Amino acid sequence: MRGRVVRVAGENRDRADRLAALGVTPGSPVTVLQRFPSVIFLCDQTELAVEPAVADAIMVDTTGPHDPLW
Amino acid sequence: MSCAQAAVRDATATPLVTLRARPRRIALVGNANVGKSVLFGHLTGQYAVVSNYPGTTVAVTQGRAVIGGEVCDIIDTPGVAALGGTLSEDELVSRRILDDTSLDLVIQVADARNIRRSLMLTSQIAEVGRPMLLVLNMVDEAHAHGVEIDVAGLQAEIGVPVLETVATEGRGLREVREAIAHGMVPEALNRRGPRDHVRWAHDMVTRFRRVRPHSARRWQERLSRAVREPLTGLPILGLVLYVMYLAVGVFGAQTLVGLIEKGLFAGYINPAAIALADRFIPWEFVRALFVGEYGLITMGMTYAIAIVLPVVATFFLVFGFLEDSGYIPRLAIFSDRIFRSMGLNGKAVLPMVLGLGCDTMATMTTRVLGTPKERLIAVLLLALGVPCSAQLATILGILGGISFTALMTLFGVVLLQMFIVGFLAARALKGERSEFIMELPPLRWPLMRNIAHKTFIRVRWYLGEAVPLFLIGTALLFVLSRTGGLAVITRATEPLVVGLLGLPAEAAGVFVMGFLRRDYGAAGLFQLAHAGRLDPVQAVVALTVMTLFVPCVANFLMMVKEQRLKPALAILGVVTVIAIGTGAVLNSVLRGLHVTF
Repeated sequence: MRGRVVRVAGENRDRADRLAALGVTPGSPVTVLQRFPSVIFLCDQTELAVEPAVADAIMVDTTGPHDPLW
Repeated sequence: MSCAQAAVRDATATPLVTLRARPRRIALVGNANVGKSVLFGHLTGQYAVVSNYPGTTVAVTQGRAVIGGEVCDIIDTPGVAALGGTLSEDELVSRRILDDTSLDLVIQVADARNIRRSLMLTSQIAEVGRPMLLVLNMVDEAHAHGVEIDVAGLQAEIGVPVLETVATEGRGLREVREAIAHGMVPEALNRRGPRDHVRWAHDMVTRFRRVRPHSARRWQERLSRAVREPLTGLPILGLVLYVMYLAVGVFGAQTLVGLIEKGLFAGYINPAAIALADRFIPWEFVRALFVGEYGLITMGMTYAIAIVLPVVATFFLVFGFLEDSGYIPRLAIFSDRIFRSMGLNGKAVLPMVLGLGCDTMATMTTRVLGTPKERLIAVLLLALGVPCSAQLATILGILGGISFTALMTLFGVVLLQMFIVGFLAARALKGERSEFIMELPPLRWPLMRNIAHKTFIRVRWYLGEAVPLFLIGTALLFVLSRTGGLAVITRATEPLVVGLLGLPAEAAGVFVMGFLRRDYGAAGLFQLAHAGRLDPVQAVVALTVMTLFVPCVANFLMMVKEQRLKPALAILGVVTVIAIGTGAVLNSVLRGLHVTF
């Protein structure tokens, strides 16, 4: 699954800050690589591993146009 | 941009050393795992430990260098994800350095592949308002992934010199040295008033970065996938552990120790030392101090050099390879769920695995964990169950010679005990755990030069720290045995050691040694086992207790430093009770079931 980050949902400010610092910010392209045992995805050029609860909060738009080359 | 370049040209014409009241203070700052320590090494000629995972540097290293005719103090800092919001302990260290008013220049080191993140940090560093440089490191990897950055455009936009480097190969470092005299306050950026760091970074990435299709190293992608997926990843993990066992447990603990202990020490050094002592030392007391049962040479040096050194050296070599390959953080993928039930998250795998090298260093690495509760649990588990390299190898050396079941019994009991204690601590202690969010560094084929250098540094550290302690410990045992103190301790602990644990009485002395240094105690057990004083069940029980038993003095002092005295003492108490309790239960269960291994 690939798409672009829309926002990080939920009240958890700390979670959003930590994700943002790693590049998970609105507009960043993401590709999900694996869902078990941890969720692993590529964000921009960085491979990130997160627990399911965190992954669930990352809202991704999968309908928009992608970089054709990405 | 033109201004910065003109300044760079000027710099080459001023080779004299400028004298100032104090050296210029320059801080290397940046995201984790971008190569700050490599750059530090090149600029200062000092070696800071370099690995391929975030959190190698958790404390500040400072080094002096003359750059462009100026005496400079270069400061290597722990990696930061951000400068605001919730910061972990190691990030706070970096934040404080940036805020220090005596700082003259900030060199932000960035991973050229991940400039979005780096630029968010740039935007925050810029607000501090100090002169700065931006170094885009690892441009070779970025190019391999099709990433192209418009350096001139970026330079004009931020208003500070931007340079490209491949620090591990030394590429672009001359330019960095030249630019150091010309760091600029990012006025072009700050003039525009307050900004949203995220939006600004996104804007910069859209304008100045192009990603072309790439034929990125295929093997890297394939291996990366194989390592992270459970179906292939778990067998790979098994294979890695098996190779480590072969290297450290078989080659190091059996082959090398055999050669050095039996060949070199028992064959030449000790007989020669004894012959020399007999001839030149007329006093029995002094002779015994050097070459007796508790002799500085026959026991202290033999333990340190013949038994522990070969094992520690092979371990550091293999471990260095794993560190630089980027494999270790990937263990977090599989362990996250287990660690979560212990009040931690997958990130805790880093200090735990590093503990296999040295628990003292690993205790310091707990700083990378998110909350005080997590740090406390991790320090407790390190003290309780993680054997350090020398201990691990003695375990492998002794139990490997008995049977695989014996080995698995020990690891099973220790892991189960760690899990129970972690599970209970997670519920008993107040506080939160942080969520598992972790970057996986790219898998790389390690540079042999770095591994060799790192192993050399660590072995030298071992020799410098352990050998004196081994000698002090031996001298202490010698005095105790001469004054009858050892007999008193042995008698006093006999109900415990012999009655409860079912061990020979002289094992008490070994546990005393174990507190001085875990590996010293382990080496003592090694000798007991070699002398045929331990039957298989006794060996398993003794090693299990030693593994769970109190941390060494150095580790305890580090615990006090990281957690303060009271928690450290509490951990010490808990660990001692658990160690002896587990040993007693294990002993009666094994005896009751008539297990012989």
